[in-house]
Amino acid sequence: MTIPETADKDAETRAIEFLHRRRSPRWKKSDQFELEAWLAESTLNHVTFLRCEAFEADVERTIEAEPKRFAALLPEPRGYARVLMALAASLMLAAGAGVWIAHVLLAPPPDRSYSTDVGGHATLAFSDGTQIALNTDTSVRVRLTSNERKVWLDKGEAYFQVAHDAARPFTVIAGRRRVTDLGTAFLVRTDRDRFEAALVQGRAEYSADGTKSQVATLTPGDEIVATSARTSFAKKTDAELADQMAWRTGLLKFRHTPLADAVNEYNRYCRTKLVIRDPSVARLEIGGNFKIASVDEFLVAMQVVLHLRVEQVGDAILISRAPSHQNKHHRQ
Amino acid sequence: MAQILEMGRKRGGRGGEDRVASTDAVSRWFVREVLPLEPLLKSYLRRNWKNQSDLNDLRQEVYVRTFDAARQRIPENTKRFLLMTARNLLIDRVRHEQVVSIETFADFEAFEVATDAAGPDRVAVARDEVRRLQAALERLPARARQAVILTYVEDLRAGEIAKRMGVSRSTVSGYLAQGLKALMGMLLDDPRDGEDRS
Repeated sequence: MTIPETADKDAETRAIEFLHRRRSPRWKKSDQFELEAWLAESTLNHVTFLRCEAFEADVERTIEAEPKRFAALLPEPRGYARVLMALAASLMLAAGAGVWIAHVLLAPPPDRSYSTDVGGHATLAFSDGTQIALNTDTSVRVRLTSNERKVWLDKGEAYFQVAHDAARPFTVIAGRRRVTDLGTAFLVRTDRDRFEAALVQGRAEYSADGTKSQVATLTPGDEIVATSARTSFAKKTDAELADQMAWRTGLLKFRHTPLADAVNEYNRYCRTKLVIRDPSVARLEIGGNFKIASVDEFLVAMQVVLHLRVEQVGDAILISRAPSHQNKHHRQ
Repeated sequence: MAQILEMGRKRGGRGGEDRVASTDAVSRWFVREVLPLEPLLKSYLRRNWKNQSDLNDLRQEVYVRTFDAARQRIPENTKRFLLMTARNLLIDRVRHEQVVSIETFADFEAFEVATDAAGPDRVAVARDEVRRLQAALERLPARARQAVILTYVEDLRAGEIAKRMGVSRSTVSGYLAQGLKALMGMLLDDPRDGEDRS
């Protein structure tokens, strides 16, 4: 949309400038007089100002009715490689503008892409009430039209809280696999060869290849892990599901977790990779809650609790047995 | 400062203090009763004037005439008064044309019945308003949209917005003006335009 350029500022521009200045705490009496003088110059100035002022007030009122929805339209702040959001906030990370249900006067919007950096996190809020939380290194494409709601999870992990709409099923697609909402909250994760979906609430339908031939209905607690080799089903307890979703509050939760797995998890969030070469170290089990943002705390815990050595080797961090323990080990 | 004050009073009208007070009353009436009719006014102008690029000027002129007339006496039936003022303005403009086909007064009656029920409700924020504002924001250039949202959603001060966007305060002001103007253009149009109202 282009606004015609005029050499002199027209009444509308001046009115908006005054409104903008008036919001500042630096607005003084002399500014007020300047405004009133301009208003008094002509009826055109006066009515223009009233119109802009009333419109601005309407915009503010509309935004205040649903602030999260509008906050979601902001582009990603520059220079933020890693952002951790509280669940209550809805900030959006977007390559372009957000996507909304097609207004009757607008053509259907193109698919929109959203992605997070390594260590990044974002929550997307959509006009139908659906929320999508993106974890580290995640990339999605969203298509919301008046007929359908589709999200392609190209890589990474996301938690979907879907506003139920019988007329428009919500489907998450990863490769050929898809999970279709029947009124739900569910978690989907895809790595190169591995697809994982866990249902938290409601019901959803899983399809291995996008057709109706290999379909499973998921109820709360159901988890599917599928690779090209096999598909397995498991039933997770609420506690286990909560652990899997701890990333939404910036935590990683481990229970009897082999160190190798814990390290793999952390590596999803950090550019500098943690490396274990010693198989006996990799097999050590750990438990506890760790902050994703504080990998240093995690490494200190490894040193203190498990008596491990942590050192920078090249551009990775090597976790190994501390020397004295190594010696003990050899003697045995 | 004293000079400016005096200038204000002079233009306000003949009555000095009285005129200033009534200007406030007219302003309140204008905001409360005239501005909500804008979609109606725009439809009327659009249907009765061939040259679409004149519409903004026409609209402004209707407002100015309406406001000035109200300074004398606030009209009883605002809708009728506004549309009559619009009609008279259009007639003034085509005084010399042979064929004048502008909706006459008789048409207003039917017009009012049809549109009364769907009058805009300024009190409640309809879900529809939220969606329309979203859609309109979507269509803004990115910087203008950012300036609008940072101002009204995040409620940031001008300095903070300038820092966030990496530009000067006056540039932010420019983006905001661009954004608000565009939103006004998009949102103050009657969404039902284009539908057959017969």
